[in-house]
Amino acid sequence: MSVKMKSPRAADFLRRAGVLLFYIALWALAAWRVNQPLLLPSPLSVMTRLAELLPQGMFWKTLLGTLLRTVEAYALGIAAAVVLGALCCRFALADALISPALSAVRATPVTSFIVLALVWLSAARVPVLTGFLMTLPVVFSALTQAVRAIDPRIMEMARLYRFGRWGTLRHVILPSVLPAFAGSCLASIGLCWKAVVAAEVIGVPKMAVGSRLYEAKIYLETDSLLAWTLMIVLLSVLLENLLRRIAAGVSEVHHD
Amino acid sequence: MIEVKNVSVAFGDKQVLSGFSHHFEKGKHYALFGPSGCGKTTLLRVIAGLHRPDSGEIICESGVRMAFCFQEDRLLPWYTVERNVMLALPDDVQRDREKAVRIAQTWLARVGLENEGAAYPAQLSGGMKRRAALARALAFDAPVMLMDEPFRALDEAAHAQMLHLVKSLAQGKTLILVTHDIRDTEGMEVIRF
Repeated sequence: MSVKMKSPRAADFLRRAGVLLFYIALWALAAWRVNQPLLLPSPLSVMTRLAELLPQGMFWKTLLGTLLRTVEAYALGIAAAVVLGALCCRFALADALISPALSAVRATPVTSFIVLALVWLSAARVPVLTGFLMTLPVVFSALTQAVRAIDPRIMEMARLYRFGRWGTLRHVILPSVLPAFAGSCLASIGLCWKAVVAAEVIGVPKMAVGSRLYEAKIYLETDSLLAWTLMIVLLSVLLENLLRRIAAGVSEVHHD
Repeated sequence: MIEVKNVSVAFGDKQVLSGFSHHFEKGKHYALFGPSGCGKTTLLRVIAGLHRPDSGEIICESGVRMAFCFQEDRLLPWYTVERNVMLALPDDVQRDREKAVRIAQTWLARVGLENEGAAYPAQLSGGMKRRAALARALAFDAPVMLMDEPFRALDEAAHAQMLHLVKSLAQGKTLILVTHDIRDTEGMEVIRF
């Protein structure tokens, strides 16, 4: 009898699949026990609903609408965090003005922003502003803390060995900050995604997953609600994995 | 070449340097010798412009390059040892990657690290890191060499070898060496603290 050794990758896949199956079985058991599809539909009815949605062009347009809002909010949030972070690390006055404001943004409940933003902006722009405001303080705070944590002895070395401004940025500051920056970007994509969908649920713009969730709630279509939720989770995981790969690639490039 | 005039430095209540004056001549070798905490490192940092004295002044040629071998290795952990040494080379040499690699390898070979160029600092022992830091200081090729206990963490054989290397490469340069070991001071003007 020959025993084949599983590769670590295959073993990892099997372990993940096992965990997934376990939770699906738990869900099916709970649905069977509750026996009220309106309260908790079975995995099968949610999959059936998803199968009905998948061929519809509107389904993909809706997903794309939310995805684009998330990407826009996320990219703007990171860009603003980098610019404001650089200003705050360079100028004490900028730090005194900007840091407390961003701490306040971080502490404010997301729904307060959404309701307030609905007064100022169109329903389609509110999710972008909300996602932006969720991303910005997380990345900003990670960046500024990482810059301030740079070993001053390494900065002294860079000065004595005449790295210059560009050399110090390239060889000392960027590699020191990169892990914290990548970590905060990964952490904030989930936040941004959830904030965008939450704003869509409240603002109900066109072509938005949040609006579909709202409708599903109004019409008591719990299977639709879970089918859309499943798609949100799936897209969020895909986006996070993509970013993780990009972060790993950037980190590898920065090492010799 | 370097004139230290009446320099005083205190850290809180502790007076580390009190009215220290000395004229360091171009091309001569000096040893700052004395027990720990008596201000040798502080004096080196003041000369390098890393620490502003409470009073007194340092007069030296403006813009003069100074190679500084710190007490700690201060290597960049995200770069290989070879790249760390390359960063000390002049900009025009660094632009020619092949040449820079060749020069960095030569310096690493001189400190006995010819096989460690591709290693990251974390993969080296304490003594190897000291030698890598020394290679970087030597590669900087400055007319003034400030060395703060550069042979710490080295075994006897490596200590003697590195001391010989530093002294031979510092011919014609101003060398100021902080040390606790009287054997290091041979042939140098000793400034006792």
